[in-house]
Amino acid sequence: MATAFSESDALGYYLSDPRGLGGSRSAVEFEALEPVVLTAIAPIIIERVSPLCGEGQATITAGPDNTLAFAAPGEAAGEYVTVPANGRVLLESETPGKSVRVYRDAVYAPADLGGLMTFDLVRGVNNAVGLGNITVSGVTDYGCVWLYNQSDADITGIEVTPGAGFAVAFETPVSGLCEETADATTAPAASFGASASVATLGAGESVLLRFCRTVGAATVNAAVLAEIAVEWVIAAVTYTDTLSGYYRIADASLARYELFAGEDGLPDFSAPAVATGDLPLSVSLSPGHTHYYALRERNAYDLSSFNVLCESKVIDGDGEEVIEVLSDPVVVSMESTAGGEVTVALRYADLVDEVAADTWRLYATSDGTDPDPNTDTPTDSPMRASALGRPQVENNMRLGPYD
Amino acid sequence: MPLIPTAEKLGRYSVRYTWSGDAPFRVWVNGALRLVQTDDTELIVQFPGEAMPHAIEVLDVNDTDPAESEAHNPCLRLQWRGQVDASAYLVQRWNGSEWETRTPISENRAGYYRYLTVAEVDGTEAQWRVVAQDSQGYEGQVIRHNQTVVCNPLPPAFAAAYDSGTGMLTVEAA
Repeated sequence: MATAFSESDALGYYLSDPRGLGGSRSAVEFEALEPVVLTAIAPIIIERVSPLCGEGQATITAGPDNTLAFAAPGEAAGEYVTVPANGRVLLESETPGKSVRVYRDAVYAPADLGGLMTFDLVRGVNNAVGLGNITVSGVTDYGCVWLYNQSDADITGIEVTPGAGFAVAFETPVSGLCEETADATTAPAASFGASASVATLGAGESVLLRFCRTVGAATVNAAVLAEIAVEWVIAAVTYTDTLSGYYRIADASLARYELFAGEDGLPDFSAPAVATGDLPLSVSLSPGHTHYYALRERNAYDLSSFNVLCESKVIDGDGEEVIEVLSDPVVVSMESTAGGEVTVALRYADLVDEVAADTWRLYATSDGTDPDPNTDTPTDSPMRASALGRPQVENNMRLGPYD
Repeated sequence: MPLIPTAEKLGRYSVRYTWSGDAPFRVWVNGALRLVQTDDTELIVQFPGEAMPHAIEVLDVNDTDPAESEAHNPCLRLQWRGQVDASAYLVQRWNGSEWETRTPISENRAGYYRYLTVAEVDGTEAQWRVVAQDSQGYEGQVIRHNQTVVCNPLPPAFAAAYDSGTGMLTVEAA
């Protein structure tokens, strides 16, 4: 049975206080992988997931006699481990080193553990390793994570190898404190190199791992993964963790609107836009065609709004816009009512028209002739829109009284 | 690369989106996964209201990258560990002048709680917090978390006008 703080979680990774600026070791652990709990076993708190587990969906299964077994993403569960009330244990998956440390909070029912806990493991954005977002012009940022030997034995052979763009250095604290920098762009006094090592970190000792991220002129990217590998040895077993996080690279010149247009057909969104930049944007519409158009927005991280319905305009051979003729309303009934009045019940099929009508316009005569819209004056009444934006599709209009 | 569906109006309240590629397809509508592993090459969607566009993302079997709808989700996921002394948790969003309670969530001894926020606008900074409240209505301390939201921009609202004198269509902000 794996014991908490003695094996794969013997070397703890902690945030600094103030966050990322050195100073002292915070009580908050850095989460290289963050658990997103989908279904819980109520008394079980996930305290730490070993970075070796990788992203994906993991499970903790309750067995008989208050035991739990952990399965890292993509593999079978390890051995069942008894979890005492108010106890803390390390659950190992099938692969040694892929582990999760959990605490059983006895104030939560049920008294006996049962059920299945599922959780997604995801990497954080702009965390202690990912640092802040930058622009394509590049910048140098500094960050740090405390390494804390939370076991009862020495940890030896700590070797740190950062990914591209990173340099690292160790700083030994004095009375628990390291240099505290003003902000993430202020260089500490540490001497950075391509790798760094600590021969021995005694039980209960801490050391500050500083890193320097230098990104020169770069390509815009909405998710860049930063990684720092940490190898260490305890009780003759070697563990390799990867501390990671995402950051973004922005290019302000990409932030713009993009107008797409198609002649007698929908626009080809895989082709360049016909006009780009700030609004307003314009495009020439040639006569004698139906033109379809759509507007998209792109941000500084090269993320565009998704495809939407195109709007259209019909331009006749003279270059004039052709306005669609509305469909006719249907006269449902016309009845005489008391006092010589006539009630006309109307219905309008609003779904037929591309652009819906918004006014009832009634022409009426009482001299035996048909109404003539070219000469007669109509009676207008607005169609009241519903809460869903649809026009009033039925109406009863009263005329008269007539003799 | 995501497929680019074409859109065809069916009356004023429905749209047919069609695409081609190698099945099976996965289709997201407004950031939510609508069709999983489908061989269909069309989707008919109804508008909840007039002139409300849908944002459609379609990936075919050749797409190995995660969907942008998920990789750059406009919603924030809040997760917190429950505490037995609480009777409820107030999920609140800073509206610029005060903390506005969106929803109270009862403490039901579940252990963990999750809340998916409304979609935030690309490039903005949103502030959310969760406040524990006991049965007497007293509120506990809060941990506030700020996160800059970067996601696919919303389809922009715009107005278009055609000038028959110049033959130009001009699109401007609505």
